[in-house]
Amino acid sequence: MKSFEISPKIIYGVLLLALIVPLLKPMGLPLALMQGSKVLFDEINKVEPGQTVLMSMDWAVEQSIELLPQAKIVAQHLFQRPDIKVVMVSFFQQGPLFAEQILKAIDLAGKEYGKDYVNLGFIPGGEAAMMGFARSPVTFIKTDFHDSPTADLEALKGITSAKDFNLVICTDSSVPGVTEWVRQVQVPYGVRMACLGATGSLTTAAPYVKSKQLFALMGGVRGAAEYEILMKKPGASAASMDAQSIAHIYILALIAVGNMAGFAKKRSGAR
Amino acid sequence: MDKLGVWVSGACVIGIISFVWKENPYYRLLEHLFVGLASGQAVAAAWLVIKNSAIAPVVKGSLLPIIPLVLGLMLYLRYFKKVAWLAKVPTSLLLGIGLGAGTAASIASDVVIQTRSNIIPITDFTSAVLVFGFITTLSYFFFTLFTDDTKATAGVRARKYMATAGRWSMMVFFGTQIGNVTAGRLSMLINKLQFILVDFLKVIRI
Repeated sequence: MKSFEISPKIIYGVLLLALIVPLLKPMGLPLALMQGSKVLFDEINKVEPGQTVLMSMDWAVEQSIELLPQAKIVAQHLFQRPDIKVVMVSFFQQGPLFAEQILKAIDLAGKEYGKDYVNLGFIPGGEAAMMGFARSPVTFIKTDFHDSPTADLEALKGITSAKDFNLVICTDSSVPGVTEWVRQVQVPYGVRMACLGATGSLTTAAPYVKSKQLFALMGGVRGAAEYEILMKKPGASAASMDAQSIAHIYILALIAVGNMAGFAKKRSGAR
Repeated sequence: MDKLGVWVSGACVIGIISFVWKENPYYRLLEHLFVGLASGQAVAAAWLVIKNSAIAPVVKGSLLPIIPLVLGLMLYLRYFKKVAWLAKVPTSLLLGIGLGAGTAASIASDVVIQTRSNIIPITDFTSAVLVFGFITTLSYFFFTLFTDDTKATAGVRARKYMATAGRWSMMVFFGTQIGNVTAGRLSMLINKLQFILVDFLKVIRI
């Protein structure tokens, strides 16, 4: 039997078309909302005035495409909630820069830096640093990203350890990620923790939802798209979902065609 | 300046995607540029961390950060044969602290709690699949009892079948992981195409 081969140029060319056409002409394919985004949305709505939320910015540039949209829309939701304090921290070098980028892009709703929110910057040291931070955030980090003493920041008043954070939203892209956050923060201090994950790391984080160590898990650009819909602010992430769906159908079709060709070749070889 | 950034980014994205057609000098230039920029950024960021967390406090009068500074410099002694053995000191400290921080906590979070959450009553299809996958995957790594394949006893047969089922369970898991990674890569490509269409060519508006 003549071997069945498709040139990679054709495969990639059709893939690019399959992505570009839905972006140019949106089809409005339905997007089901997964449990993770709904639960996180409801939980943030339940955070009471005066409570403090810790948000981690643990990703590098490579994962920013998947995590930045999620972090931005969730941060926007947090800032819209009245009288909630938001503390941003990062165990990745580039994290504080993304925190600043998010703070510049969202509506701060009149919140004041130092009083209502703070960017603690990058803490080197990986999991060991996370352990020290969870034990005593204010004494472990002497200054924030803008070199202000953390002991003087009103947003950190009353925070003696990780258990004083009413909600922790960690991000997972690499190491340290959700495994370290659960090990060093959620289990020892019993905090309510949710995770915003890169799509590739969802399978690692999913068992923690099953064991109720995480109460919610959102993943990738889809998670951001779902949250944009829940916030009634559809943006770039929601706009990309049509292209994502069509691309997935195309990949499935390629897998089916490849397998059929493989089976046919095996059968003709057996004859 | 913003417009210049958009134009440079757009040119870079198109150059990288041009690899789909065939490898070309422009793609290779961008590839080398990326590696160089990433390395330079990593070195600059690392220097900033050392400066802020160790050197600045020492200059201000604190003596304690001298210890990690010296230990960090000792890591480079591995390149000098006569004193290379001294590099084992900071390496051992790093390993010990990392293991100590991780191992103790992982017993509770990754072993006890995870095992407890998988011992569940089988009430529906999902719980049945979960319990089946849990038991068969663990049985794949059972290398002590019932391993003598020359004896076709019931125990050996059962272990073999369960190990095979465990292998299939793991393959399903790895397939899910690959699928997720593929979806993530597609998201990245879509994001770049959106950038080209929205910000670079301004063909569509979001």
